[in-house]
Amino acid sequence: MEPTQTDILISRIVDDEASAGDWSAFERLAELEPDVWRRLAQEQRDAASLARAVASATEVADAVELPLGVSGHGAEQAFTARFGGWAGWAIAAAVALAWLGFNEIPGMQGRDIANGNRAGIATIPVSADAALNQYREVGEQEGRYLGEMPKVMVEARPIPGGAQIEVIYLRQLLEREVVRGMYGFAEDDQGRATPVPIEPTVIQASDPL
Amino acid sequence: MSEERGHLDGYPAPDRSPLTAGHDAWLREVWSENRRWVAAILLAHKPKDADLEDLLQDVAMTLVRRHQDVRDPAKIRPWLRTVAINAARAAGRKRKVRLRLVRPDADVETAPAPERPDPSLLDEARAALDAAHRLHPDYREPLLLRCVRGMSYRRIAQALDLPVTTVETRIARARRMVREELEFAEETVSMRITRDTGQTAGA
Repeated sequence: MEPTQTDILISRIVDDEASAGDWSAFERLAELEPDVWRRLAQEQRDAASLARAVASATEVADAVELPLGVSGHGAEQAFTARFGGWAGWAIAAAVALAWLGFNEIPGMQGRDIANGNRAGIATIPVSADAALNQYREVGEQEGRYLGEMPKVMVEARPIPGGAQIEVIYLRQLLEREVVRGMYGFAEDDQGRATPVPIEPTVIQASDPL
Repeated sequence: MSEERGHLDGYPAPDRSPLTAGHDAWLREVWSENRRWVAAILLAHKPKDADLEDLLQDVAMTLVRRHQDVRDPAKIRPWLRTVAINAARAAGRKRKVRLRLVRPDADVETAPAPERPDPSLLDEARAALDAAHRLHPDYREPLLLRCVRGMSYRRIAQALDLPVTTVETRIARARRMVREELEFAEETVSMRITRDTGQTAGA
């Protein structure tokens, strides 16, 4: 069913794309078929309804920024915005573990790990890498740390002087935790997020938290 | 004819080195100018239960990481459309459920109810969007794009890589099909009411 010339004319008028010639043609047509005025009004109403629905559905786009790391509005914010509260908590926990001394973790006092006995005074790691290694070792022993996923580069920029490049990347640590329940979010009939209990059998490995 | 023509319409070739501040600014402008209609593309192709914001984040990340694949800056819009369609299709394949762990002492967060305009207008808007969703994507996509402010026939044609006349024809046909869908739905409701009323009266 190809659109008729009337369909095209009405569509152009509704879309504010009609030329003076189009308006003249429409007026000539309306003299012969006055019903086209009713059609025009109806299609303008439909177009306004659809525009309202699309504007409402797509307004979320204005809040989505590019993950470029400048002035604190970088990848970390985009990542946190996307994955929400739990992910933020998990990252904070991982960072906290990484920076805490081994003996500061409750229940771990006095236990030996691969690189020596750390009983007694809390040990302050000498570097972030050392702290992260400690976190990995403790996490593995607790059954919490499972491994690390490949790093994802977010941005690279030259450091003034030109000899070095600053690279910002996303580091993904895989952890395990036992929880009481899991919920997904569905929309109710008013478009609000509503928690829905999820059976573990429907959860896929690729789903983000 | 009216048209909000963005200053990026011509997309003058930027300094394409990934290591310059000017490049970041260019990328931001590209995203700012195009994210609304990219959202409309996602809306036209995504499964109903897929989260639009998640998909926009995917497109934004791809723009940052892969924009160097676009050799001709004038082709950035068709490229963004392809990225958006791929993201929407991937969401369809995965059928992702957005999951959150609920800690024993944590309340489940729910979004506050937004202020709502006239309910009858909302119903009309929802019905029109539902009808548009039942169209073939070839018609649904230009129709939804036309609903985004500033998307003229010419800009839609540029994004879809189609002649302007084809875009115009598809939009006109899409409108007619949406109207027929809405009339059919209205008639169905009307018939149901008549039948139910008749049954009640006869009982």
